[in-house]
Amino acid sequence: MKIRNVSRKSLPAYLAVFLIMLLFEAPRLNPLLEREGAKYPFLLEAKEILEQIGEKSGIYGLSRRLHDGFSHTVSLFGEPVNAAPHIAAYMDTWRENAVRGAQNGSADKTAAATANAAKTDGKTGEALPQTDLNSQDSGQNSGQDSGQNSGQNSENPTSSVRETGQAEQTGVQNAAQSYTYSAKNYPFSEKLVQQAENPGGIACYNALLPDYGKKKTVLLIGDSMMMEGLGPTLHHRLRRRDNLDVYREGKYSSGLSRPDFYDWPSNLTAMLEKYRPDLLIMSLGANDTQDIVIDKKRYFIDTKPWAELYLQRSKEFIALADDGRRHIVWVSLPVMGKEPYFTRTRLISQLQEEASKTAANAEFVNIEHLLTENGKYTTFYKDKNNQSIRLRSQDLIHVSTAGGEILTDYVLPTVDKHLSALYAEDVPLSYPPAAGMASRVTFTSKLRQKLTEYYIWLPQTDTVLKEKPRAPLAVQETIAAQLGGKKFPVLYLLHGATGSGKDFAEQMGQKLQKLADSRKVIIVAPSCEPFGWYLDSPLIPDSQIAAYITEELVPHIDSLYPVNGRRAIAGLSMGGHGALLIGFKNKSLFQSMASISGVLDIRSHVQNWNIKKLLGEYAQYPERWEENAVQGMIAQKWPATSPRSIIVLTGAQDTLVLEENRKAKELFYKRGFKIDYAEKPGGHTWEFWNEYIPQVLEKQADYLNSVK
Amino acid sequence: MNFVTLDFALFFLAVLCVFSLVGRSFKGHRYLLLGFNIAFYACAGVRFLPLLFFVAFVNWLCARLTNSQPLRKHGFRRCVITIAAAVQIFLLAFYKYYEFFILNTEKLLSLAGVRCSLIGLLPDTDILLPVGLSFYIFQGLSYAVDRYRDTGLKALGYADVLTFVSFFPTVLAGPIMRSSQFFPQFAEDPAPADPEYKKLEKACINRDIAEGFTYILSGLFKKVVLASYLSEHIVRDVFQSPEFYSSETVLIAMYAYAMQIFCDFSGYTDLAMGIGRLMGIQVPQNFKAPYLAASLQDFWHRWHISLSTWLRDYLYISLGGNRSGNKYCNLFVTMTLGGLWHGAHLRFLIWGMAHGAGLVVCHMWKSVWKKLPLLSLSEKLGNNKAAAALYTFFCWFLTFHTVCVLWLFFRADDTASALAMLQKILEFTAEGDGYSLLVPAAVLVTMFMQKFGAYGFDGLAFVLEKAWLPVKIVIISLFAAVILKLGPDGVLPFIYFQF
Repeated sequence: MKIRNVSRKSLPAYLAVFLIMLLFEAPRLNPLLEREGAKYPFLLEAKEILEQIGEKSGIYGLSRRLHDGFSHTVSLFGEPVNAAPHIAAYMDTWRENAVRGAQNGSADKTAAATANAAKTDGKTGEALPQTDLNSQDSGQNSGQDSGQNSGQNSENPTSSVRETGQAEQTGVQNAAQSYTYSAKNYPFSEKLVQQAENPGGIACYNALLPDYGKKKTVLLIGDSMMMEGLGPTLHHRLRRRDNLDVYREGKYSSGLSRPDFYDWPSNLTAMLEKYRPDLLIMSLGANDTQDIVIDKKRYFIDTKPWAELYLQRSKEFIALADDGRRHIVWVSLPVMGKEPYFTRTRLISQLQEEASKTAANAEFVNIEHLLTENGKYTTFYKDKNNQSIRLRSQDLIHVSTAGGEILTDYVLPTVDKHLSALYAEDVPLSYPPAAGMASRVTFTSKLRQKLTEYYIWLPQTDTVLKEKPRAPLAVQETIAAQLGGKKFPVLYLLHGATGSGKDFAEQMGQKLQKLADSRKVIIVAPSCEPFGWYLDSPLIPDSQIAAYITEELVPHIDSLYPVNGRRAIAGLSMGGHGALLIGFKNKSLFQSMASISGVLDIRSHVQNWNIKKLLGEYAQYPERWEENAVQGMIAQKWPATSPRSIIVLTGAQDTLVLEENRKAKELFYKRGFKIDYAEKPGGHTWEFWNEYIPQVLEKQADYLNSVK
Repeated sequence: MNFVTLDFALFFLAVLCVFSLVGRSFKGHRYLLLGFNIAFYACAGVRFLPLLFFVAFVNWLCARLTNSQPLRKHGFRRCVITIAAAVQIFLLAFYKYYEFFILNTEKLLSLAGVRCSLIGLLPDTDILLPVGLSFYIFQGLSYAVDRYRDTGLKALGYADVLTFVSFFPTVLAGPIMRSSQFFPQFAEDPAPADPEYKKLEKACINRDIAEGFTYILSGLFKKVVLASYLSEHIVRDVFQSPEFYSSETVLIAMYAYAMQIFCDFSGYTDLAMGIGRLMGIQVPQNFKAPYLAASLQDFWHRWHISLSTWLRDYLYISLGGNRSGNKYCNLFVTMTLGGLWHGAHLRFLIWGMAHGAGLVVCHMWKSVWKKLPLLSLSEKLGNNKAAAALYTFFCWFLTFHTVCVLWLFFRADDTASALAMLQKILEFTAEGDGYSLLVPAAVLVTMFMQKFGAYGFDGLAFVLEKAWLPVKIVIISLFAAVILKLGPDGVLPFIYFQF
């Protein structure tokens, strides 16, 4: 037959190729050879023990016996059944017997008995009597940590199907008692689940990223978890920022357990040399759920020595990156959908968390409670539209892009915290936002899904800081100290269409600073999109400006700066509309509101300025326009009796909005509001606003300072 | 089991050893091969072994029924083949589309106001697509349909059909063989004692081995060196977040992906062919320098040949081909289904439809060109060498870029990001991150290989054929060592394993 002849002829040359491949690839391409080879020392050990109790056995026979007893099918059929713990249990019993035999002085008898027992076990597939296992708990330097899971026995209705199947198949009752993996044994703590319901709270609440720090370098490293899911999304989001260099290096199938496959420590050193990152973000360990072999000694997974060794390796690893200055964020592995990964990765996370405590600026972020439903692993989740979205890939281990987004949302605040700490190091004494100058501050908004900015003017005081602020946690205290420990009212100033908060800094920065100094107020001018219209768009999910101001900006300002709880809101043109709209909608938040040249009825501009993009066509959705128009609000919502200062000012030559301002005035009067209405000479121009905005703000500041 | 792993190397070593060790009088090679096939597939996923047996069974039964003498009634035969095809297409569709189907049904129901959770129907365990399912179903179907169409062909025993369907070099990702290509290779030697025949046989064996190793080396080079490099150094990052890269980089990434998928898939095919040849079994060619094609038609005669001819023979012709129905419609439907075959995703649909539309346009253009009174002009063009070259270049340029742009849809995470990349390329001047200079070099090397790779291949095969055994071994080892040295740590799975 041809097949025979050709095969015979091609064998020698193929053998050469095979040897070359072996030479090159064995240490790194495939663990097979190592895996097989590493078995021998442990078999040798087993043989030695057996010899002690007077039984002779060949290596092959021994391995057969051990394997048959536990259906240790190695990985021939693709699904490794890790029987190592069971085998270890076996060996411990033999050791126990050897010791006992020596003590009793009747080695022969025991040996024979054990040999018989072992033979029976080999045939029937049953493990050793329970007493044997329990009796060897103490006093043995065994690789088995049976204390770890003891007491959590087989009453596990929730244990995964595969695990149950395996247990039935092998019938290893006793060993199963020590090694039952199930969700019940490792419940998610209630605390974690609660956190999951509100991951992150307001996004990046304490993120303060002034862009006057030096550019920072962030390096993301890890295994497949960094290559898929979390890695790409986090990389992507960080990369969008101006003041960052972001790099990502990863290696599939790698970890700390198998330096022979991929030597993380030395590769990390090389990467640190190459990128010199200020912040290192890492996530690895998904492939570490396997035995560790050092110098032919095998540390079995699920045992105490293994855990100690892994902890040691993690500590060494993080120590490599820790130079006392570099910040490190270590992200845990996500919850896994199958055993034994579920249990083992949780242990790995614990060890990594412990290790991360040894580094100076390291923080461990545990994400195990995410991507869960009712505290349990889930492959799909339902989004707002009741649509199922895949969070995990089909292996129940890797994370999809959608899952990665969720993880990133959760991890980002921690990353931001460390970044702000890094930026803070560069900034001179005046950091954070200094009194006496306009400062631009950015923070990440969850509602608007981007980095948002505001300009802030703080009143100057005589206080001089002696020490440079050290950590972002001290920001509040630093500002408070800067401002002499006093508390101030806040004036929010909203820009017009096509503009941003920067307009005020450029046009009237000095005037506003003077105002802040003389009236002792804080002035905040946020940038809210050129055509954001200060409303929550039902059409564009990330155009939620009203909610942004009341739910994110105000709490952010309140938490960071010394405020006394009194607030005013003012704005020009589109901002005038915004000030009255937001003021009316949030009764308790703002004590004073002012519109300067405000667009007070968006219904008279149905075709203009992109409003219909936010609300839809007027003809179609009149109710949306109604409730977002200032005149609509006046007409229906507010009782006139509220003690509230309302200022409406417009240019007498302002053809754009004069008419609607007059109408609004009528409406205000009709509803019984007391408003401060004025028409001053000028148009819809900065000349007009430069002159009158400071005056209006002065009035508001005086009002806030006067009310008790 | 990935061909580029030590696991496989070891497995194949065992295969060669066993085949070499059996005696001259041994007759059971086919059963031996069957054993290896099953072992190989079991390594890829023992759970799906029954599926493999089932597919072979269905096709075996179908061929038996349509071929058996007393039952040769047309209606009955037609019925049997339809059922067999339907069963297998259902299997294929089930494994490929069940999640897509369930998720979209749920979506539609929720749109209709019915709130229900079908997600519970999805198994929470890791049901993956059985590796190679679509390839061996196609291979099996071709066996059954051939026997249905030509009653002169003999229906074979179950073991033979199973051997064919599960042939280990091709079971995972093709090339899709035909029974007429496979079974004759197992024929008995016609004249074993004839010295003339022996001489010829020896020459054949030498050729097999020389070409086999050349294929393996070429496959390794394409996969381990080129495809891995392109994937790691440009394709993955740019496709993941194109907005950070300059127009130029995105353009290069588009070319790079075209080269990567070629190197990946043709590298795999080369390995399959080489492995087959080392056992003396010829596996058909799958690629003939596809990026040199001067029209889309031409491209499909050069790209994934075994699939396109399969689609032509068993889908296009079954739909009516050129004769019945609308030829263009048949072509379009065939290509659309060919696109969907890659998976349940809009982007594969777009890819298939675009190729279908492109082919229709090509065909129309040809018939229009023939009918136009410009025949003399084209003759003139033919006489004017420069103009003809320019015309050919224009055709090639258009074809190549159509193919490359369509690969964007094939590879991108979703249609939107493919469009974003396209937009970025067309903007032409967008700023962003650059690329390593080795990337265009790797792209050029791949293009160069399209044009001149055959010479290199023939040269190496010739040397290996003529060389003395130790010299042969040294040459092969040297090449293997260089290729493995150039490769990265660890090799990514083949792209086509997912289909």
